[in-house]
Amino acid sequence: MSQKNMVKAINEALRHEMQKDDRVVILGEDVGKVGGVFRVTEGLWDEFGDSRVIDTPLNEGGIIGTAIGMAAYGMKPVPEIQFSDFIFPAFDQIVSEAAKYRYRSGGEYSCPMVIRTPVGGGIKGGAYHSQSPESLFIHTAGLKVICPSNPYDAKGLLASAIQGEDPVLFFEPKRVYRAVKMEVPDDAYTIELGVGKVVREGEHVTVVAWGAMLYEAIAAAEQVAAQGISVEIIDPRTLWPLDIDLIAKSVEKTGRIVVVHEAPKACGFGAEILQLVCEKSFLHLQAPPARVTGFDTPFPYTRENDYLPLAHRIVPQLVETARY
Amino acid sequence: MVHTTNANDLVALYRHALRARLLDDRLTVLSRAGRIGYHPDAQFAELVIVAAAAALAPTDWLFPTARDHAAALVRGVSFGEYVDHVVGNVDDKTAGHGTPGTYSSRALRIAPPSTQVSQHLTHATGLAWAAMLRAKPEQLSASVSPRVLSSVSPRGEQEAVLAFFSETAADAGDFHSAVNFAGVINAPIVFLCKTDGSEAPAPDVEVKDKAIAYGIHAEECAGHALEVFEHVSAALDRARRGEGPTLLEVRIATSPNPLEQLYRQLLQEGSIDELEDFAWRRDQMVEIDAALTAAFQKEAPSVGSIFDHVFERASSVHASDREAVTHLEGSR
Repeated sequence: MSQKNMVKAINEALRHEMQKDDRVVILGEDVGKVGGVFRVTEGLWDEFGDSRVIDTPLNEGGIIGTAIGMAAYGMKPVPEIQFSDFIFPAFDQIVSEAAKYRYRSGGEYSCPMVIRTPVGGGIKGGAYHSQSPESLFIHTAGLKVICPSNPYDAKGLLASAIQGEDPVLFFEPKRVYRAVKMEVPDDAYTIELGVGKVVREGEHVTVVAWGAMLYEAIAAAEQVAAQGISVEIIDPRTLWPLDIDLIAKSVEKTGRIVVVHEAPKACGFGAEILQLVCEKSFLHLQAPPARVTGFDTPFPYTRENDYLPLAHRIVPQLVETARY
Repeated sequence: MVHTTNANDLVALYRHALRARLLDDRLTVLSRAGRIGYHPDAQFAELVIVAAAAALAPTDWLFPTARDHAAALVRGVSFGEYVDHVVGNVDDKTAGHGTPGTYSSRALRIAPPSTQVSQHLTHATGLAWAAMLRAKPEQLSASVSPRVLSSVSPRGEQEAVLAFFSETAADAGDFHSAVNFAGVINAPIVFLCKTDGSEAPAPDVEVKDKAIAYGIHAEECAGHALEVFEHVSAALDRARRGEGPTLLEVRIATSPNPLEQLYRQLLQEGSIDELEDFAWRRDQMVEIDAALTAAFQKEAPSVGSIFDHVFERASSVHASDREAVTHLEGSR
């Protein structure tokens, strides 16, 4: 056990899974000798060699397409897409192929593959290094979608994802990569997919947030506590399948819900969460379900801290929802 | 069932191709009559498809398009199995999920075809890549689960991959990704392009020349069955020897119809007898009709099967929808 950041925790999960199962291979742009653009795979090429930590041509569709073939053969590829903004050349392969491989072959073939990719803004990355495309993949049946908020969860969730038999999108909040350190066991462990976590207990408003925005929700909750508003915060950890029962249970206690996410509002995952809450817990609601999100614009470069739903944008919504 | 124990046997290849043609004819009629969703046929390419498929070893892998069911027949898929799939009944191997032509079989090493043009080619390269990595003795470790051993052929023996596509798919991006990656990693794969040879080739647009850009070996041949068999066999051998991928462009004539031309040739040579051939065709058609009759009599998959095989295990995501729609079964 020692203090680790998310980069180190993910690196450990990859190492452990590669040691345990020689079907696990990493492939992507500069993931080998360089160790990845964020150095998440650092040292793995030295340990496992270039047959298991593979530098590929700069072609996302080719990376995911070949990974699908590897998975069909019986391997467990863990491709890295340098930024989730670069995933779109591979979108057709993920949506039309990986997500449907098991389905359209009646279960004869499958696509056990974990696509790791940094997500989110706040690093002065502008339109093409900051987006949060999770809802596009949640909308595609056959994919699991994970977005950890801290090093401990990242390590355990990634291990579970790699050990599973389904295609997984593993979004790594790049703003958290080196910003958060915590105690993380040195040994391997897993965290069950589809199980959320109450990270702060409260009485008046339920907030659902994940990835880097979890910290903004916590900061906002601390600010409104001074006004007597007690906020319960849930980190779903796995976005799909969603632990809706945990969220509904909280809403049935607080009667109020605010979802926070970086992605644009229209058809963002917040819309789905709030509708599910309406279906499950409508009669418990005491205020309109609310969202604090990115805007329905491309991700801006200069004013990213106004685009992002940071604490200063969450606070007014918490007050409005609590006092409704 | 015809078995190509001697793949050099032109009559055997002729009969494989003819079986595919007879099935095509029947399914095309059913498609036009609205009895099945649709049927992507293999017209003019039957001989090329069966000759190439016959060159595969049982341990090799096939990545067909939706028009290459003739190869599945060569690999051992019966008329009954194929029409169960096309009809989409309870015995369809894809569980009523795959559209006609997307038949796959892990046991026969037939990968799921894609309807997204050329996307299966990157899968084929990836599988060849995996087979290459696994065949390297230095990659072996003792920690392989029994499940892996059963799903992966004996290591150390190089498996090769054959992927079909048509010349129009060479315009799509994934063709280039697949060939590029295959060249970079020297994958044991044969890309077989079925080119419409009804017009004289324009030298500047020949698919085989695209291999130059990716540094891989290229060949071309006419769509004669034995010629295709020999070229594909040689290319697969190159792949197994570690000499890398081959892009093989096969020019397929449409007039005269290659299968009818071969029929006349075999008659002329005395390799087949007209009456015996007629009786053989009749037997195949009877078999196809019997298979179809049986397929149409079978039940559809249960409505709950809509939710099968989305994930490895039944998901909480589907629980309420599955329950609701199952409750309604039979009410429509």
